[in-house]
Amino acid sequence: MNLRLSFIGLAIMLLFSGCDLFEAPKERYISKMLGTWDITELNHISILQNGTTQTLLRQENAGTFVAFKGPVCGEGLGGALTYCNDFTYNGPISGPIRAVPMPRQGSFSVDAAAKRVIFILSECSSLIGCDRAWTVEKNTAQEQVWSYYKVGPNEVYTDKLTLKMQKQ
Amino acid sequence: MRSTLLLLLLLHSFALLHAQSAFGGLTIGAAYGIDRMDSANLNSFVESFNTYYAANIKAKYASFPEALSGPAIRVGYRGSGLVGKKLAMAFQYQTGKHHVPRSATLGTGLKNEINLDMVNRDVLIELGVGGKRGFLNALMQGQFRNSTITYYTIYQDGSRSIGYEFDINGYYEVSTPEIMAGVSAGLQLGKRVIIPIQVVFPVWLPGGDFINMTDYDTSRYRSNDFPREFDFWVKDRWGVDDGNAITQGNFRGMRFSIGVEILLTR
Repeated sequence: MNLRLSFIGLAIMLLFSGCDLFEAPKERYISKMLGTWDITELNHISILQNGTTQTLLRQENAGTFVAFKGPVCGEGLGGALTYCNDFTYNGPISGPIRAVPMPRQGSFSVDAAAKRVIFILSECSSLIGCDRAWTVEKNTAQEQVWSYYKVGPNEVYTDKLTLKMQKQ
Repeated sequence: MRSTLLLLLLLHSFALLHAQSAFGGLTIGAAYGIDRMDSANLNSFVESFNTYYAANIKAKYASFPEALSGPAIRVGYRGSGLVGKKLAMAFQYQTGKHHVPRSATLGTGLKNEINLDMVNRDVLIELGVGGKRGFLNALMQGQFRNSTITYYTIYQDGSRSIGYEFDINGYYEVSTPEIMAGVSAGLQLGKRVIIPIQVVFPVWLPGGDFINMTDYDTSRYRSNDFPREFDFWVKDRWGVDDGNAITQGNFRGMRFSIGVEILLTR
């Protein structure tokens, strides 16, 4: 009886051991992102110091974001491969008031906890200080919500640009 | 995957070993523990931040505690009264986490938020004496403690950003792999319930305290390490001072826990 129970316990644990529990969130996120995403809503607002907001641009069906495996650029710590030129963005770049800070194409990554999507060298071409980080607000296999913030002079206002995306 | 399988086979071999024991078998359990840490450097950050913004702060950061308490779960093998009815041993895996949020509100209404998360993944090996009623074991614990700080700016409308618009925003992490040693004692209640009490102390941090808590996913001229002194970090625009950082050693500390284990097999 004891032996049988012990084997049942072992079988249950073996079942769970089949799951790759130790896959890095980074790789999981990039795998999840591969494919074409419809930008269902682009929302550009200004946050004022009193907590109110002004809408600068709001657009539905604002284009697509396509993530794919580009050519391998290098190998990170632990043997994780990094890819180059692995997205295209087909959405608005210029709004009526301030430009949308998103390149048409390039490389993107995500931090170790999938809290930030990082667009590599999207601001300039120097190795340091040229990336842009968008905060991941919603992260599911079918829906992503990202926000980018830019603080105005003397912190009087802050621009917030939000992309809501649905996977095709 | 292969290491997980080997671990499971090892646990199973323990289960087969206990045929003549007073009690023993595969266990699953929960524990409530207190983890001490060296919060002095985190509190240096808190104090220096509060001082830096003293003229323009509505709500200051509160300090971090020296001990964090919370639950953990545990699975493995435990036996007592083995081999001549005197040997007790255990081989278990345990995991638990702590979350400590802190926030400060500046005069502009911008809020800064620190989320300290500490996840422990421990391998416990016990060897000692025991019989039908209980056991008293020496405990050696391989502790893999992963500590992270997620630093957000929260805007006046409640929006939360971890972007690069403020350098301090980020996801900072450091691991503290530690060999701990201590004592474990326990009582058996009924046929399947064990109440273990454990205390372990840090004895060896391999390589010493040399890894800083770092945001590995940001690229800036300022240091990517989470600073110990906020004002020095602000002045150090080129990230020259790599000593101004929270380190893996700041998360070392004694652990005390009391738990309940259920014998799945006997």
